[in-house]
Amino acid sequence: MSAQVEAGAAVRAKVVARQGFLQVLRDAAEIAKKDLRVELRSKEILLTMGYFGFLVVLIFSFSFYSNDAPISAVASGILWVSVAFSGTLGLGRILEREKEGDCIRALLLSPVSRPAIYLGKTFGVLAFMVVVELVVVPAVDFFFNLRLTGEQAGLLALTLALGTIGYSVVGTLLAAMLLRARAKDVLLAIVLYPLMLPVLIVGVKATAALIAPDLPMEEFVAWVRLLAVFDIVFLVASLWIFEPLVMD
Amino acid sequence: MSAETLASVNEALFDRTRGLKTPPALMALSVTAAVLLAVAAWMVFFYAPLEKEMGFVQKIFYFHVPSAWIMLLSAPLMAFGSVAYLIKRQDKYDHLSDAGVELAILFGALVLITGPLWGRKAWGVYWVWDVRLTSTLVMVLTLVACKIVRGYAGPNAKQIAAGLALLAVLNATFVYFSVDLWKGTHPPKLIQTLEPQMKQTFWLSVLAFHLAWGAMLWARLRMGKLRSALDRLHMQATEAGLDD
Repeated sequence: MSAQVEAGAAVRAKVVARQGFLQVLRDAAEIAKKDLRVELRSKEILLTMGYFGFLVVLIFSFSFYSNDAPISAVASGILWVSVAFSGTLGLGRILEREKEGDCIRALLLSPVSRPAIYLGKTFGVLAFMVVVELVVVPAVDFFFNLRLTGEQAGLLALTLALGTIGYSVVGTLLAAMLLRARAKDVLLAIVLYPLMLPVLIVGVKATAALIAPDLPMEEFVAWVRLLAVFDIVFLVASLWIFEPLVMD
Repeated sequence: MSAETLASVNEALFDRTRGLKTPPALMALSVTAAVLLAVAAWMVFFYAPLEKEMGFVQKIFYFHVPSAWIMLLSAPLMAFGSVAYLIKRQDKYDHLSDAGVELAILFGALVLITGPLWGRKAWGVYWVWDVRLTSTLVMVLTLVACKIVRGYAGPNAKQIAAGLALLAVLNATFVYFSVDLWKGTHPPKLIQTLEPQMKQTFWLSVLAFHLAWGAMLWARLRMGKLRSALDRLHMQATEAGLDD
């Protein structure tokens, strides 16, 4: 009996020791690494997300055209919508996996803090989104004839990175929240898009400024700064909300 | 089943039904609100003068602004209810959050209906992506999603709804405060510039809307409480074997 109590105390001490900020990050990286390893073996999510993103761009490219050529003015909107749509596909799957064989219970019982689990999942989603963007951006560039310069491409990467962080931060939280809900795929889309509206609007505006002929730098910086503020605000809020929401 | 358990369930039932009568204060509040709303509507159309630039359409303002204020008033209410529910897990906080969400949707919808009607005359289009319009729309859309989730998500719907309500408030606040760059076309605060008769009408309308809001909130909280009581009673009855 006393051996059990001691063992329990040892585990608790271990958990307490794992509360430090760096430890949380290390645990999160471990969880993300696990998700990526699983994904690299099956490649299921990446292939479906990437291909779906490409198809969305393709569909948009023949929805908006004049004189048989796609209109490049709508390219920024299409870029973000394609990323957002294909992102939903991955978000649902990456958390759904934890439900198979009740892995989520094992994950919650393991001696890592809840913020680490949340961050780990967010890192995983982020990695998937980056791969999708590597498909979607060239596709948009190709179909809408953007001819991005090196500078524009760099700034676009920055904008997309900030937007994607915001998307993953909120998306992972919502997907985790809905993990045990009924009809969760439909519900995820319904709750995610209204909350993503600010990120999408600001992202589209920043991208539009970016591909404008004379690059209004001041305007672009202001939009990008907004994206950064959104990321920080929602990361902090999500870290707090995650724990009470997946506790039981 | 023994006669004893039947008697105890009966007694519990009797205890609960005593609370069913509408409290007189709630009744009085509702009637006052209804009368004042009617008076305010009369004043809007027959007492307040026509505005010289916008004409008749300006009268939307007397309903639009109070609705918007009340929507903003409901937001901290549901934020508080949601946070308290997530921490304490007591049903009364869930009722508060739910009541706040419903009121914010109702008055937010009024804002979103009256706004474009005014905008069509002032801007020539029904909708522009202005800061205030966007933040209102984001909040109402998220709250509608929140109600849908509450209805369909199953066992832990209350938690999810609380989390969503919180995110909705946070999101609307983010849009509202951070976007100074966003070129606003929404008219600034112009209450100071009103004619005296317009001011009287406006403030009476504000008062009437607030009273109506208070009455609805009260009624909604009471409904939540009664519903929980009924659920508990139902459970007791089932346990006692009275399930038919």
